[in-house]
Amino acid sequence: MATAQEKLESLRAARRSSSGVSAASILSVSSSTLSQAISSIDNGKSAVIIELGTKFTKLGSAGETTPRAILRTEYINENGVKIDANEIFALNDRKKAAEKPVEYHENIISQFFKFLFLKALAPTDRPFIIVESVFMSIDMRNAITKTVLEKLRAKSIMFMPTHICSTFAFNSSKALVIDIGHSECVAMPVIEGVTMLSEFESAHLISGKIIEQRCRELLKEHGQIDEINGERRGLNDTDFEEIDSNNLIETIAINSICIGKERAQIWKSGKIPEKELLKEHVFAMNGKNLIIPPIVLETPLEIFFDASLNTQSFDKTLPQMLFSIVEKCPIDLRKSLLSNIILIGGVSTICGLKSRIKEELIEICQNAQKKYAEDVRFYQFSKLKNYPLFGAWLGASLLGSLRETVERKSISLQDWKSGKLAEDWTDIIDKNV
Amino acid sequence: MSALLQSFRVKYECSCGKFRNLSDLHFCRQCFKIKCEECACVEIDMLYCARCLEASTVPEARLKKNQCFNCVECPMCMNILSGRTENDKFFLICQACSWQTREAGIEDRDSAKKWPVYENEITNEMNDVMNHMKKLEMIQNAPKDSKNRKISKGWSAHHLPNKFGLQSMVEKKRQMMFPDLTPLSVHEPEEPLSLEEELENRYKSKNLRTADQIIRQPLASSDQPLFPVRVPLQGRTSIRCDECERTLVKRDYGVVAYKFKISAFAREYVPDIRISRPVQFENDKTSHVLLTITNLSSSPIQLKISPQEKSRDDLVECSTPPVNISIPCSIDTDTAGVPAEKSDVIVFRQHNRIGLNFDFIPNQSNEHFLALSLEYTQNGSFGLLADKSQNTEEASSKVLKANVIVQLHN
Repeated sequence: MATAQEKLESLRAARRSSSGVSAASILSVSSSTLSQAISSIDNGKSAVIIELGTKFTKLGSAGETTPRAILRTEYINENGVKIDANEIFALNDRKKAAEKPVEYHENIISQFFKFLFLKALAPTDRPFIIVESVFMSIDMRNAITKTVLEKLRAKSIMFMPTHICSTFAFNSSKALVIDIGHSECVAMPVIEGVTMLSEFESAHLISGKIIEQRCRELLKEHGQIDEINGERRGLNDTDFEEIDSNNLIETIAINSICIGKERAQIWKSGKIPEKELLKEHVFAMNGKNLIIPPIVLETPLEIFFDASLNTQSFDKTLPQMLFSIVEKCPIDLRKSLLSNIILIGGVSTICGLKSRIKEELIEICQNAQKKYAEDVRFYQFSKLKNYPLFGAWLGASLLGSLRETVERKSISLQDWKSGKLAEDWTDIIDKNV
Repeated sequence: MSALLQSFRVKYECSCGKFRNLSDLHFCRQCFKIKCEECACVEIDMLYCARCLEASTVPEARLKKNQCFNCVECPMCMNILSGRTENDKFFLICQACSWQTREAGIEDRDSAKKWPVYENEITNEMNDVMNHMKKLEMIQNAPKDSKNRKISKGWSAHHLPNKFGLQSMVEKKRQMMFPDLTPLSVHEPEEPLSLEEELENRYKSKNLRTADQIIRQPLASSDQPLFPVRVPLQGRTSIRCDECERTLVKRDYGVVAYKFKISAFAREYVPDIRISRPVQFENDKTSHVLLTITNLSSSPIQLKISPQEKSRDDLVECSTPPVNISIPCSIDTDTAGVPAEKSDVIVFRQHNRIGLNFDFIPNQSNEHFLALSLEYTQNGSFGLLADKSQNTEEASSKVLKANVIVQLHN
């Protein structure tokens, strides 16, 4: 039945296209193959894709599968002062943005973009695609648009939300996308290419920053220093200064693992589990050895799952968050969501996180007597473990290879000067209202 | 040198409103405006490897993926790796952290160049997805094309016998507009690996892998050793005026060349002001500052220099009236050693340099700035304009302005 329908459709299409063939269009038949060949040779003006993350900025060229560069989101300004991500993204934070005039923030953004591009990619006359967080502020968008179009002289600019981009690579039409980044976790379903915003959940508690904070606390509690004379002692403030100068907290956070619930209970009760997963780690530091015991590497992620550790905020734990998203969704989708999970963001590369999420989801669903978690599955590339680092970037890169779509969706310098703003994905909603 | 001369104490106002050192500014000869790097257009004019100094043009760099194919860095500490030979075979070693390519399991090679790097394993799969998306795009756009074209109902290639091979052309065209779309299967979601399995596969190393090591080669999974990293190319920039699009600074071809093909630095067009002696402050009493003004341009300058009124708290009040002087250019050697005329303001004249004395009353705060405005005309500097349509006479008699702020305190 379906094939007959398709045939009919293609016949109709054939008639539509063939009915208007003239001498000129016959000519264009032969020339369009030629022009296609030319356009595939000259991929010089392919779009520039940037994903701005709070920790890392990924940049590269459209149609490629690996970013040209992944850089830290920070730069050193002309006075030799390091400007970090908090200041670059200050416009996203309304309270912080109000402290200084918009021009000040715009200047920082333009300096950051110059730092990114004048070192490596030559961006002039190329379209830009910026992978944005769904909650990027309008001021921030406008500042980026202004910089890219006016200062970097790009051909055009377009914004793409992270969550939808990350589904492209898997060619999936139905997914629950969980983006665990350095500053926050935003999870929402993407169904048939539509970001279901009203079903979103976010938490500042589930983030790389919090893992680093936990690592610091655990290291303070359990870490030890081996002096040259063989003496062992706890850590003091000067040790932490040295640790920070080596960026060691970040390294520990990246290398931490996510253990099963049973094992976590044992650690929590103050006992040491029988089976050893990781060995004690020794880090040489200015003539003394820093001992990192296994508990520091094994338990920092417990804060994602254990509500009793969270004393600062009212954020939900990760399984609770996912469960409530599923609950909010229409009944037809509920069962399929948890078998189509996409995990992106740097934190998702941590070993054992996926199996722990599965374990917790099964438990929470059992307690609530729901059958959502019968088949928990994750989209993943087994050959590319670091995929979550640039997952959204990759999706945007695939999209960026579609020239005409990019051209249609983006705005140029002329449009910008005539007062048009970059197309926002919420425009569709606004127009419908 | 700038620290020794303390040239940062005199700041010129750029046309964008920011105050900068004269050495950081450019001057557009067509717009008669001072431009800084921030308000002018900075563009990459070529890329090069900072290690082997091999230059590549922008399209070349794009093909090379912005990496040098010959030079590699240590994946651990980012220092340059150097080659060693053993039994006529090469291996690489890092002089800083003594990391070796042998540690990563790379066999010794016949050549010191071309070391293996990780390839993206999912490229083929992504290409399939990309092609699928392209087909979808074509279908989305095709009906629009056919709608735009005027439809003549009387003639259709379908009615022709396939005598002239037209039929196949039409068929081809249709194929291109509406490609056969076989749905591409979804990358199937998988069961997660257990922690034990993941840990077992994890690459065992003495050191923990840092974030910098990971982002420099994201294709190396946690179960693989790190390979030498290709050195990223760096960009060399040229500067253009943002208003008239003319080039202000362009370097000579070749990375090692230090000359400029085109250069329009502000110091060649704007009088250079410096503080000559340390400034002595006496509270609430008239103090003096000795400024030297140098004409580094190729033609004499008629200069009117006048102190600005005290508009801000940190400015000092200057009692010296505006001074009109003419400064010869450096090429004119005739004027060497002209004795200073008897004046309270002009202290000395020497070649293309003039010493001026300004009286001021220090303000109450700790910061003392002297604001000056310059009005000057140059006779010859614009005679060699690239754009002949502009009247050179008009250009030479044009009164140019510049605002300067001098920091008097240390």
